[in-house]
Amino acid sequence: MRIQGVWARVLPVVLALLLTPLVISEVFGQRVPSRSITVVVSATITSLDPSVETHRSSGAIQNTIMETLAVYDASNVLQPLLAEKWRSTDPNTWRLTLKRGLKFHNGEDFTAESVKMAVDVFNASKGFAGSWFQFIKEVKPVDSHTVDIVTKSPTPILPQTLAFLYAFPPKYFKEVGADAFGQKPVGTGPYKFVEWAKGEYIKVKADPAYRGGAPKIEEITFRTAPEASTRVAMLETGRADIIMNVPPQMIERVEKAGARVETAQSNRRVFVEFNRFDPILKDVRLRKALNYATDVEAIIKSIFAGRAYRATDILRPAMPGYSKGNVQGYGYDPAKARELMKQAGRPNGFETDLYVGVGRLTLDKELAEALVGQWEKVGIKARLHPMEWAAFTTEAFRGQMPGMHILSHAPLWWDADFTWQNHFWSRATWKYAHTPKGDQMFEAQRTEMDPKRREALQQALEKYWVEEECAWIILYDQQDIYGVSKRIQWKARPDELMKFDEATLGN
Amino acid sequence: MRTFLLRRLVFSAFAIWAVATIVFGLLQLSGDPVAVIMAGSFGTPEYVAKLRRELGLDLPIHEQYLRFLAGALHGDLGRSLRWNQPALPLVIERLPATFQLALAATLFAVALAVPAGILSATRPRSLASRSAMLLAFAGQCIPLFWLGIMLVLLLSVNLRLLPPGGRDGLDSLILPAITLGMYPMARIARLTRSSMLDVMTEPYVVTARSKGLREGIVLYRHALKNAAIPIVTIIGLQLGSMLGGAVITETIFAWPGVGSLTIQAIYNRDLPLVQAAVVVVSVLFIVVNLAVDVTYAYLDPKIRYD
Amino acid sequence: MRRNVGALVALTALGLIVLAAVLAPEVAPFDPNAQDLNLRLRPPAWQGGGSRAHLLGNDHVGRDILSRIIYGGRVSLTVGALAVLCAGAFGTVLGFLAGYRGGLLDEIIMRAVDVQLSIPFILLAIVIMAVFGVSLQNLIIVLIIYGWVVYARLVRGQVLSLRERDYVTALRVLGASHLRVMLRHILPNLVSSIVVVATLETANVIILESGLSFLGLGVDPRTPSWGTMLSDGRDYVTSAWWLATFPGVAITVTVLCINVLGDWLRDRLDPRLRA
Repeated sequence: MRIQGVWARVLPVVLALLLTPLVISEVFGQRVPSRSITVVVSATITSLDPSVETHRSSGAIQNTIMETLAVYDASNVLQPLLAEKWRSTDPNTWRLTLKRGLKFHNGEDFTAESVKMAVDVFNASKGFAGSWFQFIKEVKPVDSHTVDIVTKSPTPILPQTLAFLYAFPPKYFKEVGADAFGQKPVGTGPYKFVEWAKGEYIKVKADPAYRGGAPKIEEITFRTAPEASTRVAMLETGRADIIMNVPPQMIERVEKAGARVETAQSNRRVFVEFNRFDPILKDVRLRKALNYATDVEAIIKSIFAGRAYRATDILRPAMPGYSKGNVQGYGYDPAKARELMKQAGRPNGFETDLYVGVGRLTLDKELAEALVGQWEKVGIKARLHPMEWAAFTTEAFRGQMPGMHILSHAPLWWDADFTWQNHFWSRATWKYAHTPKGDQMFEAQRTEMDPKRREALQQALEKYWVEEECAWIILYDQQDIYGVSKRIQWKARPDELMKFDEATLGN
Repeated sequence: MRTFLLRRLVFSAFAIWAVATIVFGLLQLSGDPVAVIMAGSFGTPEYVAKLRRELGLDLPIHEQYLRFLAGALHGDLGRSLRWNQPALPLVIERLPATFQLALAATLFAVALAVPAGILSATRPRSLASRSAMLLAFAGQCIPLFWLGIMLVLLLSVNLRLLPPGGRDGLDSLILPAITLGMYPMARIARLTRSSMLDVMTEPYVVTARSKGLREGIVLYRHALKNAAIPIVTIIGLQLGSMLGGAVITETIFAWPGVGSLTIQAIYNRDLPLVQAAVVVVSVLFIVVNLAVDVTYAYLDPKIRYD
Repeated sequence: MRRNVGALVALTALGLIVLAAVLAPEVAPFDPNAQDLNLRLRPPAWQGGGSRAHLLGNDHVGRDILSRIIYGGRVSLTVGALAVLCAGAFGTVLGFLAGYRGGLLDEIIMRAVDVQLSIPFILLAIVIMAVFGVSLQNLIIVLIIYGWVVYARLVRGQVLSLRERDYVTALRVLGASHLRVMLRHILPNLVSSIVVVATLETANVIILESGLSFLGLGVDPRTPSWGTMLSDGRDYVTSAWWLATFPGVAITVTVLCINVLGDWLRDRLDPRLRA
C-alpha cells in the first residue's frame, strides 16, 4: 500500500484551506471606526431573543436592540418606557397606554399588537422566561395604542413585570420565525443589529432615527471571553473598552493598565438557606445560633477586601413595603450562639451539612470554607459539600438536601413577591422554607391590590421569615465590578445589566 | 484491503451507535435539565411539568431513546435545550475553528518534538538536545491553564505581540496553538527519543551504518520509519483528543471550538447538544484512527490487518 | 554510569517525598485545614509581608501552604500511582491481545477504544461521582476508565509490527508457544514505550484531578491535594502566585523523579533481553 505521494500533495492543500479564512480576515479585516467600542461579556450568547436567552451577558446586547414596556432606573425605580401609563381598571385588568409614533427598525409601527405578540412569544418559550407571564389570561388590544391585560387573578405586581415585556415586531417575527428572529432581531431600541459572526462577535450600530436622538456611541462590538484573566488582558491591550465580572484580585491589573473599575452594589444577595425540615435544624434556636455564629463583616473584610455590602433583610430599597428598620439583623455574637445551643439541648455543638454549587458566585468556595471555619469555633461541625452546579440544582430540586446550602438571589422584578414565590412557598422551586402560615401570608400579598394594605403585608412577611422563622442567614450583596477604559464615560447598574444609551466617548 | 475497509466501516458504525447509547445513558443519570433551567425561577409545579412535557423529558426513558435513534437516522439530533436551535448544526458550525486549532497545535508539537527526540537519541550530550528534552519535560508538567494565562500575560499584555483571545485573524491562532500543543509536544518528544533509541541498536541499523551509508539516510530511511509507529500512534491520539476536548485552551482564549460547546452543554445538562457533539467527535476519532492504521501499513509494509 | 547517579538522586528525592507524605502528621508544621482569615494570602517567608512561621505563605483562607503540600502528597501520589499502574496493566493486556491476535478481536478492542475516547471525560466523571459518590476511590476508577486507552493503542501498534518480524516467525516455526513468544520476545520490546507513557501519564493524572476539583468533583475538600491546590490558585496566578506555583513545583519534582527512574528502569531491562 503506497500512499506516500498522496500525503505530500493533499496535506498542503488541506492546510491552505483551513488557514486561508484566518489570513483573509487578518488582511482585509474592517478598520474599527473611532466612535466605536468593544464590550466583553463572560457568557456565550446563544440567542438574541429575550424569551430564549435570559443571561445578563446576552441582556446587555438584547437591550441595545429591543426595548421593554417599562424600565428600571439605576435606583431600581420603575419608569415608563414604551408604555406611558398603566392603571388597574378592575382587580383582574390592567389598562396600558402605549407611546405613539414609534417604529421598529424595519419600519413597522409599534402598536398594541406588539404587546399581544410579546406575551404569546414569552408563553411559548421552553425555558425560564416561559414562566414569567403565565399569570396573564388574555391580552386585549383596545385600540392601536391601548391594551388591556387580563390576569387570572388580581396581580398587583403587573407593572413591575412590564420591565421584562419586550416589544416584538409582529410582521417581521411572523415572517422570519422564532429561530431566525433570535439570530437577527429587530426592535425599537437605540441600536440596530448589524452582524453576528458566530463565536466571534456581535455588532450593533446606532440608529440615527431613535426617538431620543441617536446614542453618542456609534457602534458597539460585543465579544465573549469566559476566563477572567483573558478579559482583563483584553482591556490591558486596548482590545476591549468595557469588560464585565472583574474578580477583586485583578483590580490592580486594570488600574495599572490605565483603565478604571466601575462598581455597583448588585441586586444579587447572597445567603445561606436552611432546610427547616432537617432533623437538627428544625429547631429555630439552632438556626438563630448559626446566624449569631457567623461573622459576616470579617468575611466581607478579608475575603472580599471590603467589596461586598452587608445585608440583613429581604425587602430592598425601592421595593413596595420597604422600611429600613423593619427587621433587626442578627449580629456576630458567639456567646449568644452558644447560649441558644445550650437552650436547644446541644451545648457541645452538633454536626450538619453545607452544600454549595460551585462556579456561580464570586469566591464561593472561599465563602463556604470561611463559614465552616467560623461555625467550628462555636462547636458546629458543618461538612462541606462543594458540588458541580447542575448536580447541585438537581439535588436541591428534590427538596431534600439536608442541612443548609449557599444561594444567591437577584429579584427580576423589583417586588418581594418575586422572592417569596421563589423560596417561601410550598409550591416554589426551592422548597426549604415554607409553612402553612407563610403560604397564607404569601397568597394574601400577591392578590392585594390596595398599595397601603399590601405594604403592611410585605413587612409582616419579612418579619415572619427573618425574625420568627429565621429561614436564612442573610450575608451580603455582591459588588459587580466592571473594567472600563479611560476613553469612555459609563456607569454600572445594580441589576447586572449593561446599558449604553447614556455612555459617551472622551474624557 | 476491501474486506478490511468494509469490516472497519461496519464496526465503526457500531461504535458510533455504542457511544451514542452510552452517552445517552450517562446523561440520564447525570442530573435533571429542568432543574438547571429553573434554578433561578419560580415555576409552579404545573409549569415545571409543562416544561418537562414540552421538552420531551417526561417520556419514559426507552421512548426518549427510540425517538433519539429515529431522529439520528434522519440526521436530526434534536434541538438544544439551551440554544433552542437544532443541535447538529450548532456543533458543525464550530468545526472549522476546532480543526484550525487542532491542526496548528499538532504542527507546532510535531515540528518541535520529532527533531528534538531524534536529536536527543542520536546526540544525547549536545546542548541542543538537552535543552530540547528539558522543554519537553517541562511541557508535560505545566498545568494547561497556568501556561495559557502566563503566555497571555507575557506575550500579549507585556510585549503586545499577540492578541489575548478570541478568534480574529492568524495571529490569534498562535498562542492557543502553543498552549494546546505543549503537552503533546512533550509526549511526542519523549516517545520519539525512546523509540529511536530502541531502533538505533537494532541489527539492521548497525548493518546499514557498517555499509557506510550516510548518517542522514541511515536515520531517515531506516531508523525513523521503524521507530515511527509509536510516534504516529501518539500523534493520532493527541489529534483526536484535540478535536473534541480542547476545553481549557478554548476557555482561556475564547476560541469558539467544539470542546467548550460540549462542556457548557454538559454543565447545563443540555442532553441533545451533548449527544450531537459526542456523535460528531466519535466520527472524527474513527476517521483519525483509520488514518493512523493506514499509516502503520505504509510505515511497515509487513503489517497485516487480518 | 552517569545515569546511575541521576537515578540515585531521583530515588532519594522520591523516597523523601513519599516519606513526607506518609509521616505528614509529624512533618507538617500546621493543620492543613486550619483557617485564619487574618493570614489570608500571606506571601512566602522571603517576600515582604511573609513570615518564617509560614514558609511558603498562606492560601485564600489563611491555611499554611507548606503543610498542605506535605499532606497533599498523600492524595496525589496515591492517585498517580494507582491510576497509572492499573490503567497501564489493563491497557497493555488489551492492546497486546488486539495486536497479536489481530482480526476480529483487534477490531472489537479498537472500536472499544474509539468509543471510550469519544465519551467526554467530564461527563463520565460527573456521572460516576453523582451515582457512586465523590470519593478518592471513585476518582481513581474514573481515571483508570479514561486512561487505559493510551496504553492499548500504543502496545497494539507496536505488537502489530513486531509479530511480523523474522525472528518471531522463526521462533514459531521452531515450535515456541504463543505465550512464550508474547512474554519473552515481544513484551520486552514494548517496555520502553510503556514506561515512557506511564511516566508521562502520572503528571497528566495528577493534573486531571485538578481539573475535576475545579468543578467540585475532586476529592473531599477536607483532604488537601496538589490538584485541588492548583485549581484553587487558578484565579490568583497574577496576584498571589504562590498558591498555584508550589503545588506545581511539587508535581514537577515528583514527575521528574518518576521519569528519571523510569528511564533507568528501561535502560536496565533493555540490554539484557537483546538476545
